[in-house]
Amino acid sequence: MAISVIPPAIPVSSYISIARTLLQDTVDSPYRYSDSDLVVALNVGLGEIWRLRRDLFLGRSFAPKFDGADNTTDIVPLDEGYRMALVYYIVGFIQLRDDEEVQDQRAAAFLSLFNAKLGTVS
Amino acid sequence: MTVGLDVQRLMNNARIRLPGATDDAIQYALFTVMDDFFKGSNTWQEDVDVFVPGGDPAGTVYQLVTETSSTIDKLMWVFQKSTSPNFMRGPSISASMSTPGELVLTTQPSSDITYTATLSLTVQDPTTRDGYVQFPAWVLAKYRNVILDGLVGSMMSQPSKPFSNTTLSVFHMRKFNSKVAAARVEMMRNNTFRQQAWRFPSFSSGSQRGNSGWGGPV
Repeated sequence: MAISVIPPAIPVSSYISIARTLLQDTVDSPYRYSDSDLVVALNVGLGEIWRLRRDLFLGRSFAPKFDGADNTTDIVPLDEGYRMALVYYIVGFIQLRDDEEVQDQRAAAFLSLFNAKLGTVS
Repeated sequence: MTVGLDVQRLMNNARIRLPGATDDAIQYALFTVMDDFFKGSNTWQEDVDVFVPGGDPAGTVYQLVTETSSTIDKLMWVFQKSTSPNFMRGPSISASMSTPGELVLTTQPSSDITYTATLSLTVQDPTTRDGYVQFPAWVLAKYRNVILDGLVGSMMSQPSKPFSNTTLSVFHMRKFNSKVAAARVEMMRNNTFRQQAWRFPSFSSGSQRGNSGWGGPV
């Protein structure tokens, strides 16, 4: 079996799609959370990863950032192994804005998962 | 660019022991580990011929340039280049290298002469296009476990990472440091089993004229 040596390129749209699944927001009629909001969350999440794990962005001088929801085919320069950490951050960040108690708990849980995935073997 | 099997094995061993570490981070740490290894063990050496015209004033600086992509770390010893086919080298001479790459002789020769300076080298940028640090292949083949210990120990010493582990880091770094010391001794003995790390001074077997100081392994 041939093993691919090309790193998988994961676009912004893939992160948005997975986050929507966890947010239970997959039906566009319209979406509860817009693509723009999710891209903002993704940018903030990348900034947090930049702060905590600079080794994941070796060779870069700034944290990667994406403009709005128009360029969702752009590739997120993050190791595949940390994809779920970023997804958890997006979901947690988005749910922070809901003021229902249950949503706060979910947000805290996702943000804890984000930190755990970056700093520990979990 | 194809990465050698020995490098793949090293990387795979490191990946197994370092959950969550990216290849970029491992390659980055490998550079530092190899730098420590070469500076501590002097295993990477190169002979550089230096032509010294007779009559140069005392304190003349001679530039040492290596053929390999490397950084000069230490001046090991300097010998007069042998003019005889039966001898590897001529008598040793006294010299210094306060600034790496700048050779200064203690005594200037009165006639043209070529000296051979043995330099201890270490790694330098740039790495290969794949991000791997460059050094002689035999070093990895001979010291693969030493390098792995240094690499894993160095990575595990980083704070707040999935692969952080203070206890194991200390364990691996101790192994690394002791094996670097062993490699240094092996190099002093030219990797020859039971060869003594010293020799009789030259005056004991011949003339007492000229410099008779220790000049490295025979």
